[in-house]
Order: sequence, then structure tokens, then C-alpha cells
Amino acid sequence: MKKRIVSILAGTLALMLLLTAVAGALAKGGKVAYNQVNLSVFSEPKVTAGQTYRLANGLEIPSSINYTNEAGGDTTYVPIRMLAELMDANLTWNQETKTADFAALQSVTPSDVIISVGTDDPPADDIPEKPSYGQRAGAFEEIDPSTVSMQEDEEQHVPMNYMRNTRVQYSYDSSFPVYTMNVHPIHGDYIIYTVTNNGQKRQYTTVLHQNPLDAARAEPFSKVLVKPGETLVRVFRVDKDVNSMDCYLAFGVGEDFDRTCGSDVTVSLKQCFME
Amino acid sequence: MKKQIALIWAGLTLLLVLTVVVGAQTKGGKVAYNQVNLSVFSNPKIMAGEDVRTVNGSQIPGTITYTDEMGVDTTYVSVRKMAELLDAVLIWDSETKTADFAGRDDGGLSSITVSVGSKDEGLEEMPHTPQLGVQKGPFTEIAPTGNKRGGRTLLDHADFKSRTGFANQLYYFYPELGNYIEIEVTNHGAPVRFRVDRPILLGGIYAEQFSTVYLDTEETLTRAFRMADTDVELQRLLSFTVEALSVKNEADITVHIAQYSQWSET
Repeated sequence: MKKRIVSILAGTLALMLLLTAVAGALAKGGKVAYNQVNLSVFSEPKVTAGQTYRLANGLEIPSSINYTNEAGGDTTYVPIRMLAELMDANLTWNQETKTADFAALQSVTPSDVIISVGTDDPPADDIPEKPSYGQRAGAFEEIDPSTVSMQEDEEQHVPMNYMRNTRVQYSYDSSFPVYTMNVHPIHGDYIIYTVTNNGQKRQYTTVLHQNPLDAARAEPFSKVLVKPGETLVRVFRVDKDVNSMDCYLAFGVGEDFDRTCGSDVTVSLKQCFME
Repeated sequence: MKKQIALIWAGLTLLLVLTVVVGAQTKGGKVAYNQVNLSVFSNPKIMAGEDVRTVNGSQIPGTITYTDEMGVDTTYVSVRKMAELLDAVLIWDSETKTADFAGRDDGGLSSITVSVGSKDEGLEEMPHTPQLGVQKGPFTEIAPTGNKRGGRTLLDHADFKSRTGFANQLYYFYPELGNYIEIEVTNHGAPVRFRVDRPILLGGIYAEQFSTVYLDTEETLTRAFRMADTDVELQRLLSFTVEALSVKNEADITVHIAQYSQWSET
């Protein structure tokens, strides 16, 4: 009889201990539930409640976990890798330190080419006078301006004028303020960047694509020379279906190192729809 | 002895059944809490072993690690905490149970519209001096007076002449280079409006606005902002716009932007 009681007690105790351990590991006093919510990113529906999410590597996981604490407070958790994929953000994982880095400034995969920006300016003699047409970066492709018909009728085709014949003059120890714009295709599928050099020294135009959440993968278009007295027109086509984070372009003007004179440029930047 | 074994078996069976039930709840996967570190822009934000606090004060697990039947781990983070860390707009619709991360559709925020000077504005309503003490994100507009030191120049008296002027110019400020920002605008042409915004990159096209002030011909106006230290990288942006009030006129301005590490406010 005693042995029986001991056995029952042992069994129950073991059961309780195990159950407590299991329940504790599960939720630390809280509860979890899966796939309870819909998720939109930039107001575009991406994940439907009740459905799992398939990562780019094929792994199928709950699209969200709802954690409810003892007080009944409910918090929605999402896979950080899914969020990175939906926002085109750079995400790195360090197994040694068990650290996830969202929008990491460096890429850990050595195959990725990290392009440094503006650190190694080529000598001005090497800078071409024409862009390399067909070059792509992010959602953009640089095209030959002569292949598109410019709509001069601005009343009919109202463009977004970020800058309209803005004349900028600055001394030799200052520099042109880089214009960083989100040129989303809803504002037009073409971007026209025009630079006129009114000064004495040679200028060049720079255009850089960089997703703010993926600094490790900045992609510059070619630098193009603008000689004194000349005007350069550069045209970029924007993909229609694109993530908002991939719509950033930075427009700049650089110049020859020359302490005898300042810079004097006229810049236009607009976005419009074209045939 | 047989009875003992039977009882132990009964206990174990019960345990097995319960395990299966619990297992069904987690769909064959397991969760664990606060197992990993999380960095954003390569700066540590959430530490393994620690809960986090949201802006509304509730304490929640920093991360949840979900382990599937195959033993593969996936890290989950609170969508609200992530929005805080990225300065993203998060809109929660409890009716449809939809979280909109970096959502565009928020009536409470005013949008940045790139003005091409389509219509003239009533000048009477526009103030000639900015409202001081206005706080947007880590920035507070302060009086542009006092002794300042340790500066660096971002834009050195550059001249802008056009109908669009100096439009939506975006500047990122590294707080380690100084907590004070100064922008000086001199107007050589027709009257302009001078606007400062704190853009929200992960909220579509929205921004929080400081005062828009009127600047008359041949006037100079200096505006200053104090930046609090912030762990949120994407909060360190300001956008400046100076544009002609009328479509018939061109803006003709000189702009100087500098950042200072010391500023004795008066």
C-alpha cells in the first residue's frame, strides 16, 4: 500500500514537474497564438491572418506570433527575416554572438560587392562625357534621352518639379548639396536630371541609388562630365512595381579640385509620365 | 509491483496526451524567449536575456525564438517595438486585425507636398518668426542666439535662384558631431516661405512640421534646433524648404547650414 502511494506520488510529481517545465518554457506565464493578424507594409497587404509565410530560402514559418501576458496584454511579433524581406532591408545573422542585425551597415557575405562612394574619385580625365545607357540600379535604368519624347506641355502632363532651373553658386571649399529624393513611380515613370555648368571649371554629375535600410548595397550610376558652358541631360526610367524603400536616388554635382574659383551650376530635377 | 508499473504507465500516458495537446497548440513548434541580440543599423538595441519596454510602458519579451519540428530557429520581434526602433509609422486596425507597418494612411500627419507654387497664399496668416519650443522627434526649435562653438559647415552660403528655390533638402545629423543645428537664409528676391520638417522615412510620404515662416525681400532669418541624443537613427533627419510664394516670382536666396557641439542658450 505504501509502495502504491509512493508510486502514484512519484508519477504525479514527475508529471507536474514536467508539465510545469513545458508550460514555463512555452510562455513564461504568457500564452502564444499563431497567425492571428494581417500585416501590411507601406499600406500594401502582405500577409493574411491564418496563413503561414514562406521565406526566400523556402522555410515555412508562422507569419506572426501573438504573445499574451498574464495581465491579458496582447503583443504581435513578426519574423524579423520576413520584415526584412518585405522592406528590402539588409539583415545579417552572427551565429557566434547570436545577433541579428536589421538594416546592417555591412554585408557579411563576401560575395557581395561593397561599392565605396566618392572615396576614390577617378581623375577628371577619365570621367566620361556620356552616361552608360542601360545601366541598372535598384528600380532604375538610365536611358538615352533621345529615345524618349519629352513632354513640353506641362499643363497637360504636370510633372513633379523637385528643382526647376535652380542656380546654385558656392565657393571652392564648399560643395553641392546632394538631393536625396524618394522618386516613387506613382509620381511618374521617368526622372530627368539636367545640369548646366555656368562656371569656369569642370563639373560632373553623380547619381546614387541607396535603400536607406540597405546601406551595404549602394549602387552608383556612372559619373558624367559637364564642361564649362555645357548642359547635360540624364534620364532614368522607374520600374512600375517596386518597393518604396528601393525608390531613393541621390543627385549630386562634383567638381575638379581647383582653388582658384567656385562653382556655378543650374540644376533641374523632375519626374513625369511619358509615352 | 505490477500495479506500480501500471500506475507509472498511466501517469506517463497522461503526460504524453498532455504533451500532444500542448504540441497542437504550438503547431509542432516550440517557443523560447529572449534568446538572441538584435541590432538595428549595426547598433545594439535588444539584448538576449532581457525583456523590453514599449513606449506605452508594458514589459514584453525582447524576442521570441520559434523552433519548428525540424529544429530550425526563427527570431520574432514585436512589430510595435520594431516600429519604435526604426521611427516607422505603425497603424493598428483592431476591426480588421491588421497591422500596417510604415503605413501611409494616417490622417494625423501632414504630407510633404513638393510645391511648384501653384497658388498664392494669404501672407497675413504666415508668421514672420518661428514658434520656439516646438518639439518634433528629438528636435526642438530654439532661439538662434547665444555663443556657439565646435562647428562644422554643411552648406556654406550657397546661392539658390529658381521658382522652386531650396526644396525639401534632406540632412542627416550625426549627434556626435554636435547637438545644435543652425540654418540661415537671406532673401535677395521676392518673398519666400521657409519651412522645416522632420521627415518620417518609414511612413510613406509624411513628415512632422515645424513653423512655416514668411521671409520678406532683403531679410535674413536664422533658425536653430537642439537635437536630443536618440538611439533611433532614422529620427536624425531634418528637411528644409525655402520657396517663392508666388508662381510669378523666383526665389533668390543664400543658405548657410551649420552644426555645433556647444551652444549656450540665452
